[in-house]
Amino acid sequence: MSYLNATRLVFSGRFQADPSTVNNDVRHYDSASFLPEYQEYGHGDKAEGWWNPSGSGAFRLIDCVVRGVHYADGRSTDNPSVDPIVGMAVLDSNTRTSGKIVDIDPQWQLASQLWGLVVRLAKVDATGATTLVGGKYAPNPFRDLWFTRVSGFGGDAAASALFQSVLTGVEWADDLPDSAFLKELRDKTEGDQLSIRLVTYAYRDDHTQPGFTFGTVSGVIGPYFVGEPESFVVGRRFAPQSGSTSWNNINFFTGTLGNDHRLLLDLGNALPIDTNYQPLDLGTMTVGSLLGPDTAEGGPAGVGNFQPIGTVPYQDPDWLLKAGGIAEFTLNKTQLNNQSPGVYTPLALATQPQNAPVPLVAIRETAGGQFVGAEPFVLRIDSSQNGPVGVTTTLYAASYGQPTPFTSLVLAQTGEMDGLGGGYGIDQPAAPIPAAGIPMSALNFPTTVATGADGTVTITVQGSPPNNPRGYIDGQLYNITYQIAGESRQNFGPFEVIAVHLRDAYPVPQTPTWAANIEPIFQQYANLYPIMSRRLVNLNNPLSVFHNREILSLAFSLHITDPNYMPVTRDLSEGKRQTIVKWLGALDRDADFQAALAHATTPAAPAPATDLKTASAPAEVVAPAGGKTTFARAYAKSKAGSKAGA
Amino acid sequence: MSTNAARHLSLRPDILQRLKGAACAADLWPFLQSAVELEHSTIPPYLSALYSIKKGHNVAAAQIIHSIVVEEMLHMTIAANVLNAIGGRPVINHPKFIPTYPGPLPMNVDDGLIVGLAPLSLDLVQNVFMRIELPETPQHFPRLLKAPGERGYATIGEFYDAIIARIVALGQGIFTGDPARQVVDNAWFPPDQLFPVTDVASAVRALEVIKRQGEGTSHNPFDGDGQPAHYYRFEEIVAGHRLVRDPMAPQGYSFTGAPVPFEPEGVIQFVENSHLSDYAPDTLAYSGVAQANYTYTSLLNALHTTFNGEPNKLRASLGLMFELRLVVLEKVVNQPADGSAPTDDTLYAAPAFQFAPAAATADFAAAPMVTAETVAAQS
Repeated sequence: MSYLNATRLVFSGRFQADPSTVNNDVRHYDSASFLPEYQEYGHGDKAEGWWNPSGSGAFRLIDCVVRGVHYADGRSTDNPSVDPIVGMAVLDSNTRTSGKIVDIDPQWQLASQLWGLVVRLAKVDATGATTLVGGKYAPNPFRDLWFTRVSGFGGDAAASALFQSVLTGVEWADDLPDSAFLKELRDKTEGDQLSIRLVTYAYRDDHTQPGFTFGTVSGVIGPYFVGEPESFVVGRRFAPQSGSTSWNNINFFTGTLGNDHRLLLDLGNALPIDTNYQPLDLGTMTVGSLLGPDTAEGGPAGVGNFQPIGTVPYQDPDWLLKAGGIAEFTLNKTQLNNQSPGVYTPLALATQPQNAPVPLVAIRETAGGQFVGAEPFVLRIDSSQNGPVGVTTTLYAASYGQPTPFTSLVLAQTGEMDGLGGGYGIDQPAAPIPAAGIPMSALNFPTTVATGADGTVTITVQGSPPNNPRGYIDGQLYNITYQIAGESRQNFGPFEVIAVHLRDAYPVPQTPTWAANIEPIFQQYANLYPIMSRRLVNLNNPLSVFHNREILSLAFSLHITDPNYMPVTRDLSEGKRQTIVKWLGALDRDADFQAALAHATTPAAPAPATDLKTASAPAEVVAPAGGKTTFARAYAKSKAGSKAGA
Repeated sequence: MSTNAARHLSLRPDILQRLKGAACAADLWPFLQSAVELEHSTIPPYLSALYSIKKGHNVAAAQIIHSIVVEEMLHMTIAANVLNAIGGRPVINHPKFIPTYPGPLPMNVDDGLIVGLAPLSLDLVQNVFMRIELPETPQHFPRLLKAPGERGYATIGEFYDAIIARIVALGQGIFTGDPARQVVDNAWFPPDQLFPVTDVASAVRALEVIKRQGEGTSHNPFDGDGQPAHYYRFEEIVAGHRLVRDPMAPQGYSFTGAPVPFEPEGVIQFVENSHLSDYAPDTLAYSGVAQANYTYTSLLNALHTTFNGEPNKLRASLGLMFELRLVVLEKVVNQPADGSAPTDDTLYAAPAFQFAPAAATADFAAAPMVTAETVAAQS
């Protein structure tokens, strides 16, 4: 149930996502061919450092306010005199640095995680803010990313995604205001956690325009129940029949039908919108039971074939932000006849386009109500020379929202993926784009498993040293698919895979040195994160490193969930991280570094590599389209040409 | 150019009088709270000048200003440690903690020293910064000073001397504070500058650090830590050279060291005394200034927590200091103030250092902030 619960709070406002984009092109990891202009804004047909080369990685909530609260009994209010929580602020931290938005790897930019984000509900007046309840966002990535939400825009400006996670370590103020909602939420949630959903869209990636790095966020907070997945709802899963959206451009989404007979549909990330971010007119939209369970998307949803449950009020003014895009219905006895254990029929949305004689199925629940989800689906493995290293992930299988015990699932590596994380423009970097997904032998996991009595199964993914298959960038990026045995993967979103960054084995040297161990790592970060090298510590300048050794030592020793953790990208293997900390503690004894220090006087710019530009191979010129869009296009091509092995 | 160039930052004599009558620890608290505020009040003006320097320009001047800002942060920490040591509670995240710019500094007599937020210029350094830091007996212009009562003001040095005198007079009995509230992190400040304040001797030693770094000693412009006192460090920017020992000079020192060139083109021209309301809400300048206000207030909020029983939060506060720099340099001072496309004559946005209520914890703000000025007004 999670946030998709009768008891829920809806807020909206803006978000700021300020990622550095120099690392959008994997070839920029090659220090040998890195050029200073890769740290500049892209312009015209030159990609340079893409659209935000001096991004800080920050992710912030801006001007977010509670739009309404919904109670277990079905009532709701958007009136602060009914419930004082309405109109209050939803804020991020005021005692530590902003959260960060981070991709696992330049060759997998389709599951960005939020690290170190604090979310709190607060009453603000001129003297300050009183936090009523707040917690730390567990770093779950977004899901159900799509690139065609805004009709009339292209690239990342048209994209939309859904972050679902839990707030952990939730603390409640001793003095709560007289809010029926807060009492209900506090009584209902289990442990010190709450469930949260953020839908992010309307993003601006043009640095010359107002709103640059900002977008719209629609948030929902509800109770969390122990045993639920944090990052998705095991519920009624709606999926397009083919491709990534339905025939009238509706994205994947999920609903729940509770014991209270209440049906909740989360359309917050599902409906297409226009350039004013208002829902496109898809005609009257009705949810109902598909009595002919095999009726395909686009098929008739008329009398006899479709039992209506209710109308989705998506065209009510400001419904997406005011209601969070969640439609709520209470099923009557007749409707329940088709939606009870043993007699479930697929749910569907029906729309009636103008001039159409009958409503048509706009999008429907998956065949058999089937759903499989994985959590976590972004895995980091530090391989070791001492044997395989395992991390676990859990698969959840369900049908019509009910866990399906003893269900056979199959998992597979995608195998070699070419061209991931390349760029656009006439200034393509000289370095080759490494193949991802190989060697397959370095990654091992059971390929056939069965869920237990609770419909879940936890598997261990084991990694062995991949032996630096990508050359200039650490380790390897793998994708693992999962599905019900014998079924197709059409019920899965196009990017719904387990992504693994398997890091190279890196034993911590007895005596690390600047030249052999540190400088190669620091040079790469200095290249990729110009805001760091320009504004804080120039990692490729020994003098700057020396002056900032204490702060570096601290930042490289923080817990990975700390917003100040270095590196922001959280892509450094544990062996390399320990090597850096060890070296920082003893750099006075590194003769090699002392020599480098003696020669370093002024901060140096990244060394220009001569002639590499002219040597760069003529590559296909692709128009700029935003980071994630460009990545996804390459991914689509890679899938088409995938050389997946056994 | 100001006509008062050689005047001190002059503190109100009634405040000094009141301070000299402090009869118990609680009587001293408002003065140490004001000391925390005074040390803080110079940071936004100095940071504004620092943030106005273009990357790669005015490097020596930037180093000088940065080194002074860091010491002002140390002084703020020391004053808070002394306040905690005698059982007081520093208040840092209060709406009135940040002074209004332009305006007088805390406890200042109404003598025309108006401190604002402005980009770096020699005029700013000479007529505002050096005046804030002017020692009791500046070495280059020795002159006979009248006694405080006669001349109508007190110096910062005299203010700290009076606090020291009262602490010595009241003795060990006032050190009732919980030692666990002392903020000491020697990764950032050496142990001879930042140490726990637990008794008369350590309190005196700590307050002497503030005096010495700010003013130097009466016979030496250097502060004992190898750096010229703030006044002389700022003067290096105006003189264009570092202050060095010089046996040929009458007073043994001269501004003949390494050059400190000032290059006006290396300064971003930005809005003076910036205020969020100066910017149109739909501009990047506005969102940058708003974020800088939020981050700055978060920093004060984190420091408040640090100085009120959670000294290990100093590191999280440091993270916010770095974030403030990134926000100001990448989202504020590079944005044309009016949202137009940049040209050679563009006036850029500037950090406003305003209190952002959403970033301050109101539980703390509800606590009264009693200052030297508050108690002076009651007399």
